[in-house]
Amino acid sequence: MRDQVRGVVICPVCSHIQPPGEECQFCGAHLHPRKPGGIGKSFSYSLGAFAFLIPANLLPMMEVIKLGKVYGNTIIGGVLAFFEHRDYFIGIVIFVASILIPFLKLGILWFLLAIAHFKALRRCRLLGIRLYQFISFIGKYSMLDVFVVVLMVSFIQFGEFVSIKAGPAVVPFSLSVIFTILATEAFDSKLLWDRS
Amino acid sequence: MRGRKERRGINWVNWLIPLIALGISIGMVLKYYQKEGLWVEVSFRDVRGITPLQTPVKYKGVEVGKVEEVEIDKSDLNRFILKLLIYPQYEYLIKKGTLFWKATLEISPDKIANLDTILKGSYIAVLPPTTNRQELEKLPTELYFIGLEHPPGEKGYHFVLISGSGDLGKDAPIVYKGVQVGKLYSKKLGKDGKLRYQGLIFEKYQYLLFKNLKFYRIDPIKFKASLDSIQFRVPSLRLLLTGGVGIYIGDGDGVPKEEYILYSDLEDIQYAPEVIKLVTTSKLPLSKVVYNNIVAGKVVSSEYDLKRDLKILRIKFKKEFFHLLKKSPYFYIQYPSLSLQNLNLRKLLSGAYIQMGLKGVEAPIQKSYRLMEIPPERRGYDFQLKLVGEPKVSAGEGIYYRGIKVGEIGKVELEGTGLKVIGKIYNRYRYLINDSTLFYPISAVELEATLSKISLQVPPMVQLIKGGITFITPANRDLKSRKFPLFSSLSQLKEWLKLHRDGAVIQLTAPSPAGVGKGTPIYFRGFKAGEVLGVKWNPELGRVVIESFIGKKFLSYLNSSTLFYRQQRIRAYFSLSGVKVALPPAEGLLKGAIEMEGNSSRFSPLNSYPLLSWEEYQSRNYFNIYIVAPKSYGVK
Repeated sequence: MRDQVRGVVICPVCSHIQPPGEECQFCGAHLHPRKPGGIGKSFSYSLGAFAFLIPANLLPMMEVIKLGKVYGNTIIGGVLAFFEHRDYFIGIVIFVASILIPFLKLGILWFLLAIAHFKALRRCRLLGIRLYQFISFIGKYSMLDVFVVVLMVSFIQFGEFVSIKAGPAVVPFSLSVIFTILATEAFDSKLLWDRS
Repeated sequence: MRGRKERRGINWVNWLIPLIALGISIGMVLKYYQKEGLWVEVSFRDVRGITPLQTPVKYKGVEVGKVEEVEIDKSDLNRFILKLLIYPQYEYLIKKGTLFWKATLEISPDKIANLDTILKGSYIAVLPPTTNRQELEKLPTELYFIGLEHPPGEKGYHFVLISGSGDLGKDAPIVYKGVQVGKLYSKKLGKDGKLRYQGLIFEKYQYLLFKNLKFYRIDPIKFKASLDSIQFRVPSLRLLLTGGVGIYIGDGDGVPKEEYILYSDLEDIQYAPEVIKLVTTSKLPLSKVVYNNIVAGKVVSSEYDLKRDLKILRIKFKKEFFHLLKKSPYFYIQYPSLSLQNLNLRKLLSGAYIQMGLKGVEAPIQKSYRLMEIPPERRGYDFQLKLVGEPKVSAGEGIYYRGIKVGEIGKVELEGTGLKVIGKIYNRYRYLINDSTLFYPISAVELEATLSKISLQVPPMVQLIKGGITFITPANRDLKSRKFPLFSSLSQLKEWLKLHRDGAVIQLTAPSPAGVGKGTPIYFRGFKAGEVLGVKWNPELGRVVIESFIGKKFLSYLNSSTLFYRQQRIRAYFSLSGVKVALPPAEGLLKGAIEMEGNSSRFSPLNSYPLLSWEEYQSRNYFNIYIVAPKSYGVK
């Protein structure tokens, strides 16, 4: 039986079930039955995240300066470069972490938002909730590529011979990840079962 | 429900976030890809080491732009066009006169430079024409450049030379008064079909730019010829082939310009534009007009008038000589001659030239003048020489008499299968010849014998080398003929004389030649009876043998009674055409004479006659003593 049917609210902080009100009787947190913003907020963040993915993929992620020559690579360019060098493992890792997962997360989130918004997709909500669990889990690993860049930049500083510089794509990529997280957090999975 | 209400309320915020995000994203991309800045195209021949999107453009080590693209120049497949993007804050560096060059490692015997490029990679270096910001702002922006293949080694003033024709090599030096004051460093064919060279005047000579200066092209060949008088900063064989640029400085001041016209010739600048015509019958190739040993004009073109058999030369005179034409100039052809006095190889090699003289009378400049073949003061009696045998004779050779040049051979031409030789005796020496004159070439041997008697204006050596023609005039005759024989040698002449019985050759002997030499006349009672042909030393006899020619008329006096003695004074002589008071302009020619005296009888000459001195003769106490007085009369 769902909370709304019962006429109760679950405190988002301490999970105490209580009648609706302003404040939680147990922890004092602000009481609201569903996350504020609802679909709209989540959707807008997700669009923002998507918008930032454009520069993240078009601009170079990392600039390697070898003997004065600047070799800049976008994410996709980097993946292809690794494949060319037959470093398939790293290539796949980066592909998954920096391309597949960001887009996948957004895609899934839109799917969830669609389920919450359209009655016709009601039957998918079980799938949806599973997916929601999935993207919540891997959310943190989205920043993998950024960490790689950060580590490379901090380790490989050998003066004029080789040095690595963070490329301009790092900022929009990070913003994209942040916004994806914000979008995911703004999405209240309970919405999947609303409007019954 | 409450969720929905909430959603609607903050709807506008929801759209704001993605829109802002989108805006930022697009902004980032645009900013990254279409960075603002100035697009500049620089053309290079060698773009090794230049990578698009990576190679930076640096000014004194500071990155001011980047090479975005490398393309092959469609109009010249040997060149590449680099498209540079100069960051907006440095756009002011790109002005007319800005230099671009590729900075890479340079290791050569001269220098080692740009070591930092090993580590940092090649870059395109840029250098604005001046470091003064205000001046730089005033210059116009230029977007198309020819890149330098090497970094500019010198500081100085850069400019462009526009040339309509000709092709100088790259790196051609710019020379002024024998010193290299600058150089060219690049060449480009402009859209108007004219060549544009970028040149540089070294810093320390920049003051030249403030004079009224013009640049002209020195052909590689001409350049070579003047190499001995030019000091180069960096001598290089290459310069022999590339030619050079000369500077001509006129009066007045000038301002440094960005573009100069490259005249195709120094003469273009120096010459007055008016063209004067010279008309001549000579077919000789002539190229310049000389006045007082300086080239005053040049032949621009020549044409041949078939109808009148004339050659018309078009002459341009140098500006500073042009006014001379107002002083009634006359022109004649000067042949170069080898003379040890002025052994000037250049003159000798350059062939005949036109000599200009001035009469001095003010007169308007004519459009055309006659080009005479002989200088006016050297006019004379023209005649033709018939060759007997095969004497060697050449045009311009001199005709000498006792060491003095009294005439010259004008032309030696081929007529049919034989040679036509034209000669002339200068007017002042006309008296030396008459219809009986016979010419023969001087040989060194002949000359030796007469050296003691000849007053030479030039060192004896010259005579020996010169050769030349000389003559004898054996008899008193008028001068009417225009044809004279030229023998191959003196001996041939003597043979001929014997054959023709025009006279006889006899030998006189004396202990010394004193006062007697070739050409010394022999007089018989006031009439010229003959002439000394030559003087030789005979070691067997221990005496000087004087070969003399006695004319036909006097042969009857050549017998055992004949006496010869020396005469020392100038006298008046009778000739068939009247009394000639013989005081020729050149007294030296007739110094000394031999007197002949004898009875008329059968022609039976002795083997040799002694030549007596005046005293010896007197002591013989013969009749007909001649009293000689300074005043000129002589009585038979």
